[in-house]
Amino acid sequence: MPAALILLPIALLLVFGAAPLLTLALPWLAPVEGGSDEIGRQLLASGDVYPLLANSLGLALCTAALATAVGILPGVALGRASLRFKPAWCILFALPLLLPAVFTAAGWQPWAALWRAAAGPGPVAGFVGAWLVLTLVTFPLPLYFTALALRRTDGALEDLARLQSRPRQAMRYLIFGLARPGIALAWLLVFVLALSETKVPALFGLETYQGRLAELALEGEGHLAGAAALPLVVAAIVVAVAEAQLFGERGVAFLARTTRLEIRPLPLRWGGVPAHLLLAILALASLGLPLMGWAVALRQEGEMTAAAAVAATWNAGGPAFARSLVFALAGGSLAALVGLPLAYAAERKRVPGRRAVDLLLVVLFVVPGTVLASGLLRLVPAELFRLSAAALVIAFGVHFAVVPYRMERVALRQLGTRLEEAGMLSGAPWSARTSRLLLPLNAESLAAVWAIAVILAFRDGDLGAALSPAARTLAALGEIASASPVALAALSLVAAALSAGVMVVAALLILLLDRAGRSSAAPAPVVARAR
Amino acid sequence: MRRATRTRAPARPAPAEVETRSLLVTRAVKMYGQALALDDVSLEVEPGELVVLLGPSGCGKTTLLRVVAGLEPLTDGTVHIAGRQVNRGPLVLVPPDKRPVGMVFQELALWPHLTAEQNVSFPLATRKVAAAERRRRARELMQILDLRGAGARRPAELSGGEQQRVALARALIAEPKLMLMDEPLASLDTHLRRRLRQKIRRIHEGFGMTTLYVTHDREEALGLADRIVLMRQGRVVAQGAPGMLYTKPATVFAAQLLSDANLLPADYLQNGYWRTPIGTLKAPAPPDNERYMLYIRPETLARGDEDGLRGEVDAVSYRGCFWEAEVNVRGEEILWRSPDPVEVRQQVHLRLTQEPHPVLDDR
Repeated sequence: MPAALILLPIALLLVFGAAPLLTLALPWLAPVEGGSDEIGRQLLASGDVYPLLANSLGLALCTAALATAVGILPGVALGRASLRFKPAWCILFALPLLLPAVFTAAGWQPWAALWRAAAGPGPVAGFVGAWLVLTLVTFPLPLYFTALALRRTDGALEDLARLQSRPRQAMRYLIFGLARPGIALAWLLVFVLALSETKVPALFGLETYQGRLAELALEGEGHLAGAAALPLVVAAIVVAVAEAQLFGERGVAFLARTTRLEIRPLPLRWGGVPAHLLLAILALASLGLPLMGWAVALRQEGEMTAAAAVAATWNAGGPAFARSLVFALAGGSLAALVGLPLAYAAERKRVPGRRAVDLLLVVLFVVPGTVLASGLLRLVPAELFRLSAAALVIAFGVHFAVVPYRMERVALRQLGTRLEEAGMLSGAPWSARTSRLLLPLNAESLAAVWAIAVILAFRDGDLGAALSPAARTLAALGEIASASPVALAALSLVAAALSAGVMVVAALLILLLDRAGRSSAAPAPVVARAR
Repeated sequence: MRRATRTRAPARPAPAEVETRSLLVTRAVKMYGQALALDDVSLEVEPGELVVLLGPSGCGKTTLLRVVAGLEPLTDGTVHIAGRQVNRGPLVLVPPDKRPVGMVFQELALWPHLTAEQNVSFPLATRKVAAAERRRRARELMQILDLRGAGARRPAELSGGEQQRVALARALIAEPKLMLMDEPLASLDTHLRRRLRQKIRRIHEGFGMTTLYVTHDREEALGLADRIVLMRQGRVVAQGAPGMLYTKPATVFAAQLLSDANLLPADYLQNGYWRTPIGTLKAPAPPDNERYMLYIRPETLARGDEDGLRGEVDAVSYRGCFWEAEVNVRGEEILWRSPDPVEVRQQVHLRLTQEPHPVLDDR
């Protein structure tokens, strides 16, 4: 493996990831009276900073806890139960995850208003409202991770447990025990996403620390937020260190664990109807009610018809969607280009310093996008950089690189080393092994890794708002449009329709690829195999 | 694996040895952290020889194979293949893809996205051999290995035996100077193993290959090898022709590894007589004053008259062409293979058809 393939991503991470974060520490190390960090320092010195921090961390913790609690049961149902329409449910729950959270929050605004009108400020306002909406947006993560973890549990272990205990006990003591690292990983992801979220709490009138930083960034004063961003950098480092200690290698090993192919579904018997009911309620809450909420908001517009509002928003939202998609494709691809060689180096080459790289990648992911943007703007104050798409693409690349990195490590570990070693001993140099063995063997996971990086970049609002005001992305537009409920609702509808369209195309592509793969690897007739 | 405890002189093989051997491993040491996987291993393989590395799991035999393949660096020592130094200490002087070796892995490692023929011809493709020539050579080799008609199928569509032969063909096609096999038959059933063992032996002879074969199966080792190298805890503890190692092992470890040995604690008296729990037996005198045991192979016991060793059958298992009985002789369980039926609690008299062999007690 050429050394440049490892050194270039590391250089990119150091220059556009580690250095920006380090610059945030400078005002603390060498404060300048009346300097540009004064606002940040004032922010920190003021008494309301710590309640804001408490709001941010509390919201992230509560969201992670509730989303995990909500996601586990449907995860069990979709992962192991004999349930119908599983793929359809899985695709349905992906949509709220794919959309920027501010749109789901917008869909819940009319319902919150109705509640307020009927019963005064109630549970769908302030902290609780933001908490509920963020939970509805993020619970698919624990759901998917639980389902995945349950499908990865070794069938032989389960058989053994079933010989000695009833199914429910086996599920409780063994299966959940084995699935715990996967569920914990989902918890962490939800925590990170909730900690990064700025506009959802704002929509519900909850002030957060990252929201305050985002305001500064949106006003073009991102570079001033340097000193104030430091607490979130510290929090990110603490979370990253805890993640490395608690999961890190173990998480990779857990997800890479191979298992028997045949998964015996757990019979639901009478539980089928309640399971479908639960899934339907969650789909209604995360997708149905927001959809109706957008429609209600549009109908409330007196002068302009709903269709006209959507058409007007389409004019603004269409190009923003295109821009979002292009930036997300570029940023996600860069994240993959950064993460994949590092994953290969960590898994196959055992290069020194891989733990430090791992930690840096996790920190860059955990730190809110606004903070990373603040650091970048402090490091490269040039206006041209701030306004260029390159800044956004690079920021996406370093912010989300950990996702392709970790996922590809899992994929490489699942693939094992023997197939590559066999290539080596067949005389194939690294380039031939990569192009003819590793890439085709790894194509599905590479596609998945890339797609997830693109989705994360697509739904991100903070970096788009802070770094590319001249070229608004959809998420950033959503944040700006949140001042007008109608514009936000129309934009949400447009975004949901476009995202659903993209998802349908992606699902069809996956289906086609899957069929092509199956037909090319179709088993030979039994007679031939039995020889 | 065990912990490192000692230091030693640097490895320096004689130039003449390097020239004439297909493989020369000199004082190889391999450590994983503090664990010692290879401890001062030296090994020579002559051209055309089939050497089997035999030992229990974790004794270092696969590590040695991977070092020779270039997949693992050494901590110390040297490796020469066909006269060329390929490893010197921690330096891998020749990377795996440049070594004149072919390897069959235990898991076979067939590329699932390629057909059998593409798998076999891959090493030629990487050497820029023309497509027509690749196809011709792959088909020729597959024909020799009874893989006619399997070329267009992918590994998942092949039987276990076919997969094994495709892996063998892939390793053979580039005509390596040294063939490495890491328990290639481990996942196959007994019948197929026996058939493929013979096939491997025939191919080894037919192609005039030099082969280093790893197994923990003594039947496989005894049936295949020109020479068996016994490994234990990262060290080579014995080597020799299969017949010699089987009938006259030097140590208790070798005896137990190569047969269902009866091993009796024994004290040497004089004039070739030994005192054992089952009585006084005649056997060769020990070469030194170390502690020895007497090794009696089950097949060297036969029914005797009333003067023989008297015992009672404790357990019997039918093994097809013989009955394997555990006979209690004066409190010692003796394994005996009887051509005739025997029953539990039956009183028998046994005699030795060959003198026992003294083996060093290295337990």
